[in-house]
Amino acid sequence: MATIWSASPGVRLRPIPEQECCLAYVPRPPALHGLNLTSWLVLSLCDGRTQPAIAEDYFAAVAESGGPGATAGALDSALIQLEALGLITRTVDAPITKTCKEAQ
Amino acid sequence: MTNPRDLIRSRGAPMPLARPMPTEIRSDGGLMISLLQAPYWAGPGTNPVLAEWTWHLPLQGLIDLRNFLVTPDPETGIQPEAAIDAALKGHGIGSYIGTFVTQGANLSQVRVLFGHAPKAMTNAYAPKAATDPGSFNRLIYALLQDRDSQGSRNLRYLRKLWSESATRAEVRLIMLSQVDLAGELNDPENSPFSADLLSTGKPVETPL
Amino acid sequence: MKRSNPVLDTPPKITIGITEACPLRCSYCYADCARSPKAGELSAERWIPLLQDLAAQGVIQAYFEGGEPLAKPGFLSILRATTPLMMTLLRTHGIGLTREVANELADIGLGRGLVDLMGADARTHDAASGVPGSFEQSCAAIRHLVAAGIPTDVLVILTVPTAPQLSDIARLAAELGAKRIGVLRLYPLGRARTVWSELALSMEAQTAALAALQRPTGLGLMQSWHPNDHNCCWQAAAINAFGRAIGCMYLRDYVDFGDATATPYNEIFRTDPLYRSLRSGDVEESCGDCSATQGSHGGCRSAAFAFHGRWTAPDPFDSALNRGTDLTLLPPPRPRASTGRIADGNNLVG
Repeated sequence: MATIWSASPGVRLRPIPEQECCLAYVPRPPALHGLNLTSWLVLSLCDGRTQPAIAEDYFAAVAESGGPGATAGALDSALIQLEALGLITRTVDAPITKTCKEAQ
Repeated sequence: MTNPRDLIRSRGAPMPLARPMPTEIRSDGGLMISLLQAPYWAGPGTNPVLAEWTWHLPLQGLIDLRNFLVTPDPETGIQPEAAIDAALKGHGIGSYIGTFVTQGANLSQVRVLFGHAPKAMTNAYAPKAATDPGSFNRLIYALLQDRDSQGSRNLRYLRKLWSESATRAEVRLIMLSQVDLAGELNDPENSPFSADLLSTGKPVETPL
Repeated sequence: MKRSNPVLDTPPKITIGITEACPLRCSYCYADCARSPKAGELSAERWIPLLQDLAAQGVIQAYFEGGEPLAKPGFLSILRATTPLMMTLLRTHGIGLTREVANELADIGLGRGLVDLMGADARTHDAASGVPGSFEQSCAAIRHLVAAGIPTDVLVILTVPTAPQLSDIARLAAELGAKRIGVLRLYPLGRARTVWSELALSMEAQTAALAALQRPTGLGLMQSWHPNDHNCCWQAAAINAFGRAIGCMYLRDYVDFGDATATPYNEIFRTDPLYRSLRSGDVEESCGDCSATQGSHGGCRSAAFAFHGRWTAPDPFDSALNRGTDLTLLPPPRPRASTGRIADGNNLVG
């Protein structure tokens, strides 16, 4: 089963590229958060993709320039932080059972 | 460019940081946007080393120390390493080069390095920057007494960890032939941290 | 020496001076408020689309103050239209902020409350507000906001009466459930100019009052004196009750950058010469400690202009930059600069 990550409903982003960060507003409960480049990138990848797909895209984005964030641990840390702040939510992909396949 | 990919391609990927934005002071709820950037300090460079503290920590101690170094202060939002460096530069003392670790199987050696960085002094009003061991000590002693300085608070925390270790050692640029072992090491103005360790009769706090 | 502040292309947050009406009669009211709204104040029907447009322009936080925002007809509707779009903060005296109103604010989605206390007791506070019973209402408002689950701060302006009571106000703030106390400077604006000699403290007295402040464990402190004196103009955006872009409420007596209802705020932000100049960090002197902790130079431009008559002057409220400026002496009135023109001292230039 794969975890699917999505931005939480109602979240609004305010990129500030000139300061290399992004602000994110969560309306309920109301909170304003700040994200640095790496967290901002990870949030942008949480658009209903599975975690393996996010990882593939993430490493493609950071591979060329590297940096302390170019690690699997950094990606995991970003997801943990974003989820803790209510910016992303996870759903677990249901396993495809034989029944489901027949119904398709 | 507003795409984080493009910015990362040109800047590199920092360790991820997502945190609640503290509203600022005055009355206008300003945003401490600068907290989300890399710390002010440049890390290892070519500055000559002024002082070095070494001690040993087990793995959990390393984890705790690392968490301390990377976690922004809840009040100021500034990471301790940046605050220490800013305080040292702002008071004309020197710079914070960094905290380094040599990992071992049981205990790991921790080293905190301070540097001499005359071009980085940003203090515009202090009488003079540190130019000799005496002025260095007096300035750092003054910094240690500043209860309002986050840099001071964080520096004292590092020193507290150091002082709790049985294997602690300190290297400072002071000629042994000029040290009065009988008296001056007890004088905070000549050995600014000594008041924390030795019974001098002077009330000194080591708050976190 | 040319210095520079951080740069923003457009402002992510804005202060909204929603009204200059207020049920109180504070002796040092910066807006010279009256009980009734002033002629020309925007209606709620005009604020709502303006705020929606600001959101579309990239504003993600709005700080509402006044006057007393809760005295504004339709304020709750304004807030309800805004909270889905951006973080909201409300600065209030708490008059009329009942438990029901607090619950409604929570239901609307208000992000944070900030309540002014003008003393640690009714005698001091009510003497400043001019309205008996206002202290109890303000304290009750803090309790109601906290009970409704809205993070709440207490604000206090540092004056002759409040200086010796700072620790008591901090203790009271903690008892009422506030998360932080914000100590603010007294600015020579509005009615404060008429009572300056009674209220203004010297630099030494201000420093001493802050040094003596004892706050309960867990109560955060915000203050913008040394070494936390920042030049926050670089991110400042504000619209007054009449829809005029003024950058910051502390600039209200000195600048007018244009009509924010007719010109997109981002355009004003990018093009007004004085606005750009104030944000640039071009100052005569910068304090090393403050610039190191805050990332900006020179301190408050409003205070600098008020006391020295130059936009590039050092902020006299920074003890490192004060240079003997007597803060107890009322500075002379300064001319208001209109759009595209820069006032310097007593002359309008450009």
